[in-house]
Amino acid sequence: MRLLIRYMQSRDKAQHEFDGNVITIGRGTDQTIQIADMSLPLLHSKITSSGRDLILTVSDGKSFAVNGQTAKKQSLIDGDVVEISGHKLKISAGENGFDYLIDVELDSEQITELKSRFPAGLKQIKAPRRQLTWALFLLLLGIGLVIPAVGLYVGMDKIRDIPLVPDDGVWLTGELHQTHAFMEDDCTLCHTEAFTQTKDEDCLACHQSVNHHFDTEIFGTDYEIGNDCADCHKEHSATDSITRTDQAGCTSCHSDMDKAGFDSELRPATDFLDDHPSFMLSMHEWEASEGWQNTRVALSTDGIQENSNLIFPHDVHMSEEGIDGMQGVEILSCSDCHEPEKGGMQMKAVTMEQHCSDCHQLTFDLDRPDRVVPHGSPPDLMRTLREYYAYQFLNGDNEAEAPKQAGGIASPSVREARRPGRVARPKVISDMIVNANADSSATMTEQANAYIDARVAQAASSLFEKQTCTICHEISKSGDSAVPWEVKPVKLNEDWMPLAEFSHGSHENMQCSGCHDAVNSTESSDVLMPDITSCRDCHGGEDSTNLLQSNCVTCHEFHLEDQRPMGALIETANRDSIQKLLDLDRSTDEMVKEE
Amino acid sequence: MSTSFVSHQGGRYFWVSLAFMVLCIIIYAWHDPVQSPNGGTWYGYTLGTIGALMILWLLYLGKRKRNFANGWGTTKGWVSAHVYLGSSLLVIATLHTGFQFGWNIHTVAYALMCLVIFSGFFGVYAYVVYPSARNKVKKSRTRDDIFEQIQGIDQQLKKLVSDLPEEIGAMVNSAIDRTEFGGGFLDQLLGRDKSKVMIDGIIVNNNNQDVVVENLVQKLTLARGQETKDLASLVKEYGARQKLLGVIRTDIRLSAIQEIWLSFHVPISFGLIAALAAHIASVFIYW
Repeated sequence: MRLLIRYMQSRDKAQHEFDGNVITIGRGTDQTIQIADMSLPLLHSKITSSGRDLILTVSDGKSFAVNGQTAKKQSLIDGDVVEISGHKLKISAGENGFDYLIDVELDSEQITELKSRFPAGLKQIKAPRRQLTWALFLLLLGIGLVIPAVGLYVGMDKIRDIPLVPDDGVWLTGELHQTHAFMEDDCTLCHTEAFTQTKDEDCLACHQSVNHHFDTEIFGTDYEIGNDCADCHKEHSATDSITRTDQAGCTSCHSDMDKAGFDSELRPATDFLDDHPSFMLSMHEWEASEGWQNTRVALSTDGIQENSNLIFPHDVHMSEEGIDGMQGVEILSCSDCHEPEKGGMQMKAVTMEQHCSDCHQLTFDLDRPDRVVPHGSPPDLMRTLREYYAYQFLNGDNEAEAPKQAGGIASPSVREARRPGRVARPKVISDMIVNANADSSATMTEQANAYIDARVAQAASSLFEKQTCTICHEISKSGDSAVPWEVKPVKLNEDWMPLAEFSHGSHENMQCSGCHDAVNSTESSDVLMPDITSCRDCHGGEDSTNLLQSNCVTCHEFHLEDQRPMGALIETANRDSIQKLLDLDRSTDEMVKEE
Repeated sequence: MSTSFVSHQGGRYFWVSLAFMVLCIIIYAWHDPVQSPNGGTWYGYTLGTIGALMILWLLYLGKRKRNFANGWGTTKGWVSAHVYLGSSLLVIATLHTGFQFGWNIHTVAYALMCLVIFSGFFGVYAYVVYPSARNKVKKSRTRDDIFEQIQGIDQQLKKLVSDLPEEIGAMVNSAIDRTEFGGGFLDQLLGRDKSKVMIDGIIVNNNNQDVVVENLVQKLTLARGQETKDLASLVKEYGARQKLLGVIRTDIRLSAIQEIWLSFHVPISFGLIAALAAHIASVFIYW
């Protein structure tokens, strides 16, 4: 359809030829008929052609008037006058090939000045800034504050699974340590009470076997520091140690125990290098009436002696020239007897069976070097000897010869020899029967007993007093006829410094002799423990710059093995937390199974 | 707005905040908490409290500085304090975090605060740079002055085309009617020109009025006699109009850039308040 659109303003007459089926009318500059009137929408209405008919329809405008009649949709015919907000469109039949002629007469009073037609500043745009501000505000407040606040009242468990409710990580103030990381999705496992710092019960619910620092029956449970687990154990900073290691926590009491209100013999200590008492050793001594008695002795005590009751010269065993062993001369090193335990803290116990018996064999019959007496119990030893010699009395001691002798014919070529000082070897019992009449003054039992007693006494005396036991042990006579000797009990000190944690493992790069002067030790009573100055060759205080920085917990533990468990404090409290954790474990297990 | 808030009273607030920042950094370096520095140490709580109070105060300043000559202090002084003390918050809050960040509401609060401050920095830059740049573009005229000039030219153009062929009149009139400037957010910010013109019954884009100018120049080359003269005057006038419209678009663009930061600064400030409230509350809920 061809149209001629004429603008009827007196001075600036203009006309456009238009060829198309849709004529748009509105404020927008891209409308066919553009009316720069701010009261109009960008697209007010449209004229569409259908065959020869024109139909005017309101688009974003409210209405128009055709010949004074308000309408929203209207067919237009020749002579119609459309009025839109005071602007007039006259429709008339076209000429010269135009289907219609539209005369546009704009109400110039309604036309907006150019400068006001378009928003020319950000403030003139109807931007939803206020709405955005509120949206952002409410969103963050909702996620950040409303959710945990609601969780506070109804329990996070109940709302955690609702869609769009974030997991608890949103409120995490810092990564948890690896050991606690599995609880990261549920703050309430530790933070059981809102606006209250994590309580000891929350920790002890799991850590029930953690022990007190001192005897709570004497000192109560009030710690100046360490009242709360959180005083020393800080979470939410995975890069830090979970346990504080600074000295200040310890020295608040240990700088002056009296002042701190503890009646303790512990001497003050504030820094390993500058202010630490000399070492004390736990020593023991055998009291015949009381048994082993423990005492604490300062390492610096003059004439300090170990009372293990073992005779053992380190210098002989560690001689550079070696020592006679089973395979000839052997050069021993410390590790031949002293082995660290698994974990490297203490040394494994030195035992006769494992470490001494290769050389110190408990043989008693030169002809039978494979026969030994048991170690450790003199009555057992005596019994073994009796059994041995009784057997010998009955069967002879040379089992290889036994069949021949059993045949009753002793080889004439075998010359009976008797070692000087020894009771003559008996014949085997058959010989004795044959020769019964030759010595009839004693019964055969008496003869056997006489023989056994004599041989046992000889061997035992040699073992206890001359060759074997007495080499390592203090032997004394006893009044007991069955076991006429007494061996003084032996106990090697296995934990000299029970209040300190020393790891041999972490010192494995050092020479043993750096701390223990064993090579020059002639007596087992020598105390070979190093004193604090030896440690200070390498270890400094907390802030040392030229020595290994060492603080209290480098050597000492807070939770002491021999104290009561802190978990006893809570006993039945806080089962919920534990149950929750158990549930957590279970659900994790189930997840694993499902996978 | 005058930009002398930067050097208000010899930069008093600059020195105040600088001194405060340095003090905070020195204490941070000196303090030796059991854990790595974080918001939960005594210094962390102190900085956090100061920071939170400052944020509230700065927000109030944002409101206060709009009430010219109201209450004590000058608006310029308030703006100066707002800018410099707001900047110092960057140091205070960062020290408060102990440089520990994560995907959580706490870091969200910190990040929003940084966005607010950085958008504020841009605001300072914009207020220092753009008003004078716009003034230079407009040659010290106001925008209204320029529009008046355009209006005058439009009258002139309409008069000129009445003696010229109808199609030229139709084009020029349509170009005047369909001249655009400003517009939506991006249109203003990018200085887009969506002007159109109807030529031969078809609406075409008339970016920078180029289509019309080209068309007129083309017609000028083919014109003869009086028409050449009239067309030449028309082209000259139209060119002047084109130039003035260019100035207006540039001014709108620069003014949009000058103001744009507020579209971020204010909404994010409120987001920050929410995140800050959530941060503080959640820290104590899960103490």
